[in-house]
Amino acid sequence: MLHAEHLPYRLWAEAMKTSCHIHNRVTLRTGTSTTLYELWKGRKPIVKYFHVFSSKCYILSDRDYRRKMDPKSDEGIFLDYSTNSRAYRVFNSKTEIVMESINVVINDVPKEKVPDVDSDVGTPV
Amino acid sequence: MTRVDKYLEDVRPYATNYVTFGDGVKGKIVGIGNLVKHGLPRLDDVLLVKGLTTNLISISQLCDLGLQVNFTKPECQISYEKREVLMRGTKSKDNCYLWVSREEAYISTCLLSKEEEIKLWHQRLGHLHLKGMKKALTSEAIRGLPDLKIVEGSICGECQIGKQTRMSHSRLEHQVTSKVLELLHMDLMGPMQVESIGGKRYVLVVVDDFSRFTWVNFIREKSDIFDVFKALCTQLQRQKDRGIVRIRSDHGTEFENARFDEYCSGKGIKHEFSSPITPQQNGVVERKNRTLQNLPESCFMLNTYLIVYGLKP
Repeated sequence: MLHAEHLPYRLWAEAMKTSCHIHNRVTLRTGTSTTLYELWKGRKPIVKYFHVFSSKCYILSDRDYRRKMDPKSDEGIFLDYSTNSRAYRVFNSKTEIVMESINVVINDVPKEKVPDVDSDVGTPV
Repeated sequence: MTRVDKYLEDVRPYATNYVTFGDGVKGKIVGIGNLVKHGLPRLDDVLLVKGLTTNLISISQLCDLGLQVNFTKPECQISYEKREVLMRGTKSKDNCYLWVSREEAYISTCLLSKEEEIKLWHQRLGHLHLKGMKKALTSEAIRGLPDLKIVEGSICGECQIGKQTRMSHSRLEHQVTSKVLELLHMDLMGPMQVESIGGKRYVLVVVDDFSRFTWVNFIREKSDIFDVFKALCTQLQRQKDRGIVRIRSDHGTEFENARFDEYCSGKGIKHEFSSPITPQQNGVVERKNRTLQNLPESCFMLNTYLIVYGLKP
């Protein structure tokens, strides 16, 4: 099981993978006006499906048994994009596992300013 | 007249056979020649006489040439029409006037040659580089510095020991590759302080030189790198239907080992290494590493959502 207080640092691999994914599609090769993706694949990249890393998301709980009035979704953290299928990789905060799902609603609009909660959280680890 | 034949050039036979000295002794004349030797006065028609103990300069011959010879108590001066002093002699204890070489006459204590003097001043000025010395001399910014002729390029050994620095790495002006998969740069990042969710600690970063397209692979142990690389190689070659020509990495043992070597030589891939302790030569992938680290760092520092949920470390 994950220790909640270590979670953000444990996500470094996901962050790095997302970073690589984004940079391949966004960076222009020096001296040219084409992206790295186009040089490699021969076609322009699509960024329609991009979302902000580690933003809050809601995952439809379609895999476990639920009764009529049970909550329909779990909260989670958006991590990155699946390499093998058209799906998002998300961290499910309830079950505390990383899963791939297509039924995800991601809330990455700019959030309202959150008061400084450093004193509540405690000293950084 | 002289007795040393190697001083003379263009020696010819002379009509008279003997020269008679003050005590009646005769010396045989071997020939006549011109004295053109560095460090000696330049004289024409010098007799080569056998049995002579001292080299003599004939005053009458000098006067015949139109020169003026002026004898004083301490010295004698041979000048051309009272202006330019050509030769100089000092009086010795036995009342002979001895010829003094030109360099000696001008600088009475010439102990060093020019080059050595430059080196001496270079050391005196705290091993100042020659360019700086030249600049100071031409702009006359320092008093008391002799006028030296500085030729750049001489290397002072102590300077190299004390001042040597790393070589600079200039930017490449043009692309070295023209196709994808011609050259792959690779590097291993890690170990990270924190394991990832899947328990991985290392990142294998592979960058294609032409497109700069990047692949990241997460690895649990350094020893796994070979299998991951092999799988990636096969996949990329299949995808592009083209073989990898070269790969470039540092001297890490994860890249420089027998298995890797065997695979590369078997597949005809040339494995190039950067020089030891020179990550600059592996610059493409090292710079990529930095780019890849930026997102995690900025996310963990700034993401408010994680703070609200009490997840910030």
